[in-house]
Amino acid sequence: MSWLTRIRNVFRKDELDQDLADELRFHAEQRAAELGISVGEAHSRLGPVAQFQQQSRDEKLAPHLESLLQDARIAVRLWRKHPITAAAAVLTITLGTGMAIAAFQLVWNVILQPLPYGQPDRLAQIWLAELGEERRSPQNLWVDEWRANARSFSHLATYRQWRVTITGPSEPLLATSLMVSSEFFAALEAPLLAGRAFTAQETRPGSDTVVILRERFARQRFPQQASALGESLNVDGVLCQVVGIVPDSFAAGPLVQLAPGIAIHGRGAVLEPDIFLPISRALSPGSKVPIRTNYAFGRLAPNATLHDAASELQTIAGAKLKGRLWLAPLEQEVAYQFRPALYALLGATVCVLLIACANLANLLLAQALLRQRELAVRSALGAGRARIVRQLLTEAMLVATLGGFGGIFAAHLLSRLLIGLYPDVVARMETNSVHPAIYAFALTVTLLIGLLIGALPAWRATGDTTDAALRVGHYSLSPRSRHWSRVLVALQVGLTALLLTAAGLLLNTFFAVRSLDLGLEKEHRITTSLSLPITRYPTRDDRARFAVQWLDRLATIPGVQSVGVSNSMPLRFTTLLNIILRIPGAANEIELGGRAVGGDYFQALGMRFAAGQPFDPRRKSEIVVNEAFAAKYFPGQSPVGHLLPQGKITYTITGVTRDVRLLGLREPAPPEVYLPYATFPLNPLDTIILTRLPADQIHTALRRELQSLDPDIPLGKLITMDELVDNELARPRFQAALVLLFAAFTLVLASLGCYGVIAHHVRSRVPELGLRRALGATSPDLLRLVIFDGLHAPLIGLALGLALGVLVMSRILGAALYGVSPHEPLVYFGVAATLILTSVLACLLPARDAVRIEPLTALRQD
Amino acid sequence: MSKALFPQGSLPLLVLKILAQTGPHHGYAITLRIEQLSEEALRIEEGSLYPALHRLEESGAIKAKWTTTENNRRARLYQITAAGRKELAAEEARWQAATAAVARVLRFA
Repeated sequence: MSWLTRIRNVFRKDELDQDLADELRFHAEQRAAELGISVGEAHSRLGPVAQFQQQSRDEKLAPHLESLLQDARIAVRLWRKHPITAAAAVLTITLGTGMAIAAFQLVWNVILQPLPYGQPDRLAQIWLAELGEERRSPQNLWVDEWRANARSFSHLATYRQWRVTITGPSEPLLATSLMVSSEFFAALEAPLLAGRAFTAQETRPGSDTVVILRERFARQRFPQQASALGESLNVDGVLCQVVGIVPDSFAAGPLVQLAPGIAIHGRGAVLEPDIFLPISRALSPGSKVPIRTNYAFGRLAPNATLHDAASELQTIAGAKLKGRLWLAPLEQEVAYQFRPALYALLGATVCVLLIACANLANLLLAQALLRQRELAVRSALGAGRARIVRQLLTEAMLVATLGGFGGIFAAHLLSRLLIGLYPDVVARMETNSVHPAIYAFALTVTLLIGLLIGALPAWRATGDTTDAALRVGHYSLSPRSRHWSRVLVALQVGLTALLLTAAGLLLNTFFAVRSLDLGLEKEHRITTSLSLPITRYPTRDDRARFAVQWLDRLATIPGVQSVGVSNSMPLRFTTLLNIILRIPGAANEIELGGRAVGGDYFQALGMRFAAGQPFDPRRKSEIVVNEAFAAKYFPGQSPVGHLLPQGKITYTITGVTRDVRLLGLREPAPPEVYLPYATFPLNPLDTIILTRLPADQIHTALRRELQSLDPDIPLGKLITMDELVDNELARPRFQAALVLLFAAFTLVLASLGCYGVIAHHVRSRVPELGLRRALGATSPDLLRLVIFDGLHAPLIGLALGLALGVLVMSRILGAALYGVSPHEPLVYFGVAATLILTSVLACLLPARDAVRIEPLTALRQD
Repeated sequence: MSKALFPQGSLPLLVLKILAQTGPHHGYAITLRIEQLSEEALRIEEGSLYPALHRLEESGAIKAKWTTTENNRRARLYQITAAGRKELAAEEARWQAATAAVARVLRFA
């Protein structure tokens, strides 16, 4: 008999038993007829019938399943008697596991999931940091030397992002491409779908007219051809031959996210490039100027260690290399900036889940104790402790399983919510598939919940001696059981206090960041970006002339109040010009970020001047600096009017702007200079327009003007300044909203738990309270008695939670906080007030019941 | 004289042998046949035949179906299958080899 039949037989056990009984009766009847004895006597000759029945069952049924089903049937019957409790329990587990699964899914997809490359643990990113500076990529000349000489790497590859303009048969397109070296795909062990990777020759300036496309992009761009291989594509005005196709599944995201400084395409930035170009396209032919914007990674040779490889690179670079060089395993670099937030999220869900479990354990404990007499009777009738424990565990498992199933659905909805709240983090979840690991996690969590919430009641309820339980007339809690349920309440309140504190601090952070003075206005400002192909606009003058024409045309659009251009717009494109200045009186040249700006840039952005005024856009020798610059290089004096002689040219400082927070909202502005656009008319041509026109109207107007100016230049995506700022606020808002959601959920859980325990205490103290009433206790007396008794555990939990918060909050949230101290007393007071108020409310309901107790009925019980 | 109990493990073999020789039988008829053939020397606990029959049925050596007897009683008829015949041959050979070996030992001991 197959196990399937055996399982089916479990459900027709009665039928099988009947069959055996029929067979045996037939046997006895025949025997009786033959021997002339009574059927009863013949039946007794059969032997131990019950034993045969069990043996026969063992043959036909799945035995463990059978007793499990029996337990489950009892459990179902029990829960049907308490539908509200059951529903509350299942709902709690559904929400708790839903959150945990959603959080795990996020962490899995963003961090834990193995990188989609061959042997990803052998890949390492190369970083360099000079003292006190942020880490950066090593310059290209060293990478060339390393590639030629380093033995600890089997491959060394470089890459960077680059905005390109695709022109050709259809609409011009502005796209983000990935520039890669010849070993890029080999180093990743990522095979191409068709064609080949770039050769070493093809990654040299001058012979780099080749391109590799993503499968879907190739199909889109060359719909007629069976294969795009061998076709030509116009990239930035250069005809490039398609030599390879990468599959759609190829993910460059893990590397791309390490190479910042590219255009943000609004919310939900797409990190996966469709176009791959030789890395040499970023160099001007024959240039010997070192480039520091190529990111480098390598595949370690077999037997090489990270440490050895790093020292080899250091040795090869020699003394020229100042600062620290190190190798970071690519696996640990993935989503490095989101890791703390994601782990905090997972931690918070575990907290919530623990609270939910504590609550349910309490609920089940109360329920088990109410049934103590039933359990005692069963135990007196011969059910062993193990059997009863198993029964109670099955009851817990039943609600856990139902809740777990609900949790999978809840997680599905919640993970959509998470993506909606914070699209940037979840860029790697573009293919948000559900991996088996996630189901394994859900299953483990569900089973653990069942054990957690079932174990305590099973232990406490079966621990009491049966005699005592049988003898007691009314249900009661032994002092030890009361003690345990109080511990659980204290635990819940403590954890809730922690979460509420975190939520309060993050909320303060969000408000602090939102109310930051950005140094610019964000209303009614629309930004876009153009890229001028270097082939048709080869000289600076060509590009400067285009910018002037573009500005003139935009200014004539009715409804446009003011318009400006820059090669680097705040929050939109963060690569600044590298400006080297000599300050009179200073020992060394200084290196700082600069922006070339044209038109009414300052006015269009709503920037304010602390001193002086904007420069005249037609003069090439006037500059504007920001307050950070003034404070650092001209402390205590106004830099306006100062001359900065720089060899052939002498700059005059005409004004000081208020600082603009450009690199993320929280970071204070570094010293910066603004130069006339004509001095550095580099790509991209970021444009800002101050207008009250609706977005679609301005879009049409912009397209029309660009079309008549140069039809081959694509218009970049229109993003309002509001959206850009909002994008920067996404992270603090996400963190605050999420933790607040969790905190609210736990608050509800904790107050329910508190209520449940106190209500149970009151119920079990009915005779005592009735006696007090009979002896003359007034209603306020009883009220006070119950509330003080009930507040005991929550207050202890609250005190512990707050104390723990003071100790650990700065460590957990440190980096996520801004503008608020991790020990902000207001937050802690607020948390304490909220929890005390909630606990009092939770006590009031049972206390009201206690007041209503009729002394006579209470005393008459039993 | 006390009757000999069944040697361990021989009941399924006897059941198969009987069913192979005579065709479909119900449990009681099998009991009678065993008693008759062994000249009542072998005694079985009558009820224990049924778990043994169910075990054989489970292993596929015999199959069973419910019938109604002439006086309208439900009776379960057991019949040997092809697999059962194969098993019988193998078991018989094994049994004889084992008893012969035991007999030899008894003879020379």
